[in-house]
Amino acid sequence: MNSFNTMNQINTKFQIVLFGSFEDIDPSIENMKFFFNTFSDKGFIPNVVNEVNLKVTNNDFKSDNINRVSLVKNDGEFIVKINTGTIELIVNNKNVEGVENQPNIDDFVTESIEIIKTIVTQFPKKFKRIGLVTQYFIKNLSVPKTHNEFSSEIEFMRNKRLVEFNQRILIREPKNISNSYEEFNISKDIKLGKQVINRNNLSPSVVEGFLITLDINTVPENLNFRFDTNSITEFTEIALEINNTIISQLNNKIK
Amino acid sequence: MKTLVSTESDYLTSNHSYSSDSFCEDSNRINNSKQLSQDGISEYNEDLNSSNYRLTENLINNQRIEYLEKMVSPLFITLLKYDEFEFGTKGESVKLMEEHLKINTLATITWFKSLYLHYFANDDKILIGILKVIDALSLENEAIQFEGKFMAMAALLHKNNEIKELGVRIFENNCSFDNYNILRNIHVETKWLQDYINQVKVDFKKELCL
Repeated sequence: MNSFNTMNQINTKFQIVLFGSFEDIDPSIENMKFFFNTFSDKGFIPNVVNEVNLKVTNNDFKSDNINRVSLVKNDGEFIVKINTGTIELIVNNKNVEGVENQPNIDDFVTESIEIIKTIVTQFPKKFKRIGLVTQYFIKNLSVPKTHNEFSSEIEFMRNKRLVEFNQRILIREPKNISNSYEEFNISKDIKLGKQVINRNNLSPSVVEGFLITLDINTVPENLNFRFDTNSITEFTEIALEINNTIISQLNNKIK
Repeated sequence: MKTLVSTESDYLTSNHSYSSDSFCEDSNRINNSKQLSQDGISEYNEDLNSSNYRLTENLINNQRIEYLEKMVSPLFITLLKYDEFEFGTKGESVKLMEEHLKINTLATITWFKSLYLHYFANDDKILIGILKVIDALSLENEAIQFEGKFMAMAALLHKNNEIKELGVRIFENNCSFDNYNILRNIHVETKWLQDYINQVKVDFKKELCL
């Protein structure tokens, strides 16, 4: 099983981040026409948003155009942000309805790759770093018991009323992308949290549970612009496998 | 030592061997527009190992402050101790402040204020030097002029008479309607000091034709 007991798991966020150089993908009339013509039938509306411009290089500070493009679908359910240094594709489960109508990670990755390919066809690019972030809220668990399972806590702190809990681990692992050696950062954050859940015909309820965030990305030290759309596809396959393994092992701990 | 790599900037190095050349970019021109995300939530952070690492204004300012504390404070304090602050010449401590104010005004002011606070209780001689730097710069530098008012007001409360006097002098050297109004609302118990303030108010009234 690569997910928690589906009755208990809420997928709160999925995000793919691509690092590179995207100053040219600005909200010019031509570009906005392209985005509108290409993405509107997929449900995305192009917007202009502001970005803090922090491009500081030796002896050359550019007064950049600080307006950037953002594509928004279904009132923020799926957002594509094209910043000067990153492209982010984000699905936020904002109107959490229990476990129904949840974003699905595989659908998100598939759709994201299509979007990236479309953008790269128009604006040929390579990237220097890729990341996948997934976030899950796990409810309907015994908080003290789950805390014990997650943390191997000392006896005194176990089975007490838990008010705050934060646990983070970051590891690095070598992988191959396009037959090249890459290093991956893999981090897992678990914290105690609350989630508002909307239920049909009932007032929203606030439930307590654990927020789990996984962040899998290529290390920042390698600055070479080396990733193309094939590499992104390969990366997401590897990252999803890692993601699912971690979720599965966490699930085994707490069931 | 692991090399810190910034996505955009090449002045961040892991051994913090900054030179003033590396910092010649004018951080004051950094645009203050905020990223308006559709979901209204900014989850960016300053962790290089995170997919949501972004070079943020806070990171730049905090790193600049850290640099000033570690690398500039020792020299600055030494200069404060030995500068003569003669009329008509700029001391080396003043020139050093100017240099760093040009690079990052906000961070430099924050660092300067923390020095002021520290030496307010710990070393009168250095505090006097700091006040003289404010005095020297407050006519030319808007940020020092603004922040200097608070530091001058605090000086009026110090037990050292020379420091109190310097507090008034900072206002005196900068005749303006704002400073006049501030002085009108200051009252001190020490007679000679209140007399000095009153004299400055009279002079201001004449000059400002009030």
